[in-house]
Amino acid sequence: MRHRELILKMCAGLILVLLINFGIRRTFDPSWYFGNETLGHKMQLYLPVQDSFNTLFVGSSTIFYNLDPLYFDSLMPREWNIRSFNLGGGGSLPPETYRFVKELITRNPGKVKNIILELRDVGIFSENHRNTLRKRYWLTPAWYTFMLRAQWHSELPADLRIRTSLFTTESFLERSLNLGYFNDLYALDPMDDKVSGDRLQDIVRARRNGMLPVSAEREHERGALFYQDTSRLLLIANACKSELSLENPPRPNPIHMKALSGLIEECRKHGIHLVFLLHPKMEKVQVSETLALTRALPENHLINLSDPDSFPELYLAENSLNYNHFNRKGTRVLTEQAAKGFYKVHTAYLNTAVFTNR
Amino acid sequence: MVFNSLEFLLFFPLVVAGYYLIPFRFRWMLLLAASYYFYMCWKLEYVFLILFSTLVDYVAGIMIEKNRGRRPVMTLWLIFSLVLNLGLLFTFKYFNFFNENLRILFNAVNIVWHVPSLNLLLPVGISFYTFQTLSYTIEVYRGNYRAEKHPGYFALYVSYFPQLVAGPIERPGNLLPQLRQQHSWTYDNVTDGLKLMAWGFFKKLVIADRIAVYVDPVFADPSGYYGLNMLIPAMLLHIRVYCDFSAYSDIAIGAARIMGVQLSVNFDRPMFATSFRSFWRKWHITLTRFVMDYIFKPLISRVNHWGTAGRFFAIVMSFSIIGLWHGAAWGMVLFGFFNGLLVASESVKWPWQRWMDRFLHPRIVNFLNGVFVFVMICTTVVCFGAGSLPKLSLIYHNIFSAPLTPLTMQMFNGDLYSMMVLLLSIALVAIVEFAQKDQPLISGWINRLPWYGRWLFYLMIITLMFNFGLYSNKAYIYFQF
Repeated sequence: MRHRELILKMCAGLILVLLINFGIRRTFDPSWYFGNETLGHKMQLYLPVQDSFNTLFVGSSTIFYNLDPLYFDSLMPREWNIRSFNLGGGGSLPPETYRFVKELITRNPGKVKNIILELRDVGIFSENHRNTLRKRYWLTPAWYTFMLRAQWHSELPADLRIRTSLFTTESFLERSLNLGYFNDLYALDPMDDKVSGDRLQDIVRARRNGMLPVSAEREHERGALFYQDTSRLLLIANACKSELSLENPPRPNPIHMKALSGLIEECRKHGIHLVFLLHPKMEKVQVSETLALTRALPENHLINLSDPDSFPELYLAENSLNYNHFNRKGTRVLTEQAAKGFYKVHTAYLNTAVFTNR
Repeated sequence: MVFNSLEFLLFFPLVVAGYYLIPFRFRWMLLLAASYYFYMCWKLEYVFLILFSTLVDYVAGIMIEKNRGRRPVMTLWLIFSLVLNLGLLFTFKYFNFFNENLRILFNAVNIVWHVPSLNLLLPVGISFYTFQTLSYTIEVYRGNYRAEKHPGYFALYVSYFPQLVAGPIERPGNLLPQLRQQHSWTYDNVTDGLKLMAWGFFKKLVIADRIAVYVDPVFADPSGYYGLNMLIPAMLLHIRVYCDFSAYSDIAIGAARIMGVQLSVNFDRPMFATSFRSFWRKWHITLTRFVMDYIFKPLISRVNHWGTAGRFFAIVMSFSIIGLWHGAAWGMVLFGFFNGLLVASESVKWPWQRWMDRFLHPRIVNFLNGVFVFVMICTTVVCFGAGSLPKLSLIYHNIFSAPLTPLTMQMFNGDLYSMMVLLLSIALVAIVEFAQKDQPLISGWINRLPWYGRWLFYLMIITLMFNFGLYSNKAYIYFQF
């Protein structure tokens, strides 16, 4: 009889604690992007001048360092008046970026007309990001459910999916229980050290468009290491090639696909053209899952650069900083290809939009 | 696996569920497997050290029992156990310390010392389980406890996971019969255990780990901290060690209580001690009792004829061993030595004490004594934080060379938030411990509160722990011993 009493009391206690935590979160509510330091800095730069920009780049470090807004704008037709801002940030991955786009367009729509969003799978949770604020600040019950369902329907190896589910559950518990909430607010907790730093505000402010180009020193330092063995680049290219040549390719993850379609629709409602950019260099394990998504996405919402036959220059060691990033030369090549892709899909989108309006 | 980790949060409920669900005759197997797994999470190989210790003392216990009445044979088996257990402890913990000191000594008289240092990692909790197994053999030798015939229960006594790596150091008379007993799930045991665990986690996550963020850098490089600016970190270090270690004990006692086992109390509100003797009767009680029973008492019986000097010698010697038990460093030895001096000094009634007793109210005398004991213990805990002698002398020099240096709280670097959190949470612990009075464990105090008081307390502790705790899986400070 007393077992039931204990369980009831524990449940009541848990509910009360969750309510108190919820009250604390509401009372001491920081900005909605608080938790990702890079985005925090970039938003501080972006928000005061948001009306000057109509195109946003969102994604991880591959977007942050390798998609140059200035060069991109110069490649666009003058009449489109494209003015882009780079909101990419190291380690900013889906679904955090999906949530970011959703919140951005509802809370601070500005004059945004286009968003180029990096396409990735949602099945990899790096050990470095475990227990970090950036992996939990956005993890509401809805996003948590999405993550678990996406893992369930994913084609990624089972160990990766289990690991991601466990780590996501851990992050969700950390968020729900407000673990170290005030330390996060007062920036005491050293847990997030690995993903913070950089003094981004000072660095990025100089360019005023959110872009942080790869420096000559960094290129020299990282490149030297990379050039010792570039064979993994070939492996990545081969993995893409063999996946693209499959006669019966795998079906896309339905949960992830639904989220992408929902995002496209939501952007469309706000008059925004959402374009997914598939970066050329993926880890071998991600290739199948991510390419499957590209097969199901509408053509005028996708720039697919992950094809070694069509974009061989993106797989050249001389254009690379490492396996995932480009050096300064490669950045120009990637930006150029992204711009070409965007021109193509945006033209199609505009025509469709005109047709639909008629 | 540390208590404040996700792994333990998964591991512990699974073990408890399994413990109560499986038939009684299999429970020891589950607990033994869980205990070895718990230990192997640090380093797989070191489980062999526990197995070795277990085997040695299991055999020694049985042989002593078999040869009861034949004192020389019994003594031989006791020596066998002592040599092997202490030899293991010496090899892993003290060899390099003694080797290094011998090298310095021989070099001073121009003799080359060739013995190389060992490159061994100190196994977690080796001092705790070695003392626990030794206590078993000694108790069997003394005839206070019959040798355990069941190897499984004996192995479990040595490795019982809640107290394996940081105590309390149990005696066979308390733990072994309880391990053999069939415990059923009771509301009181489970709720008391959970209360103790929650209180332990609060002290560890909110106070101990937060103090560590500020105090560790000061002790890593004490230059630049003078007078009170060095004494305050010393006081905080004392509070940190207390909160960290008593937290571990509370969680260990709570975890065992949930499974029906009552471990020994290890801390009885030592911060309210009004004499050094009472401090050591309240601080790390199981270690102090071990040293008193197995070292101090045999020693004093041999030197008692020296009179006061013999008593003084036995106390200082015993406390120096307590210091050495804490770590292979001169700082640790001095920590024990100074505490021994303080305890021994209480045999004498000093003039100012007579004056206070005569002119002041007993409560004021108690309060002043309490403050004095606290400050003095803080100055000895400095040895604990410093480790090496040069650093220790620098710290003492900094404290006493410029005692009037203005207090700047420079170690906090202007972090008012952390200062407030620490101040309030330390005050909360102090108020609760003061209110506990004759209850050494918090569960006893909580049970005396009205239902709304209990709920308010739970919610406050849990909310504070969640929102203000540091969740970086920092290991407990006593693991290094």
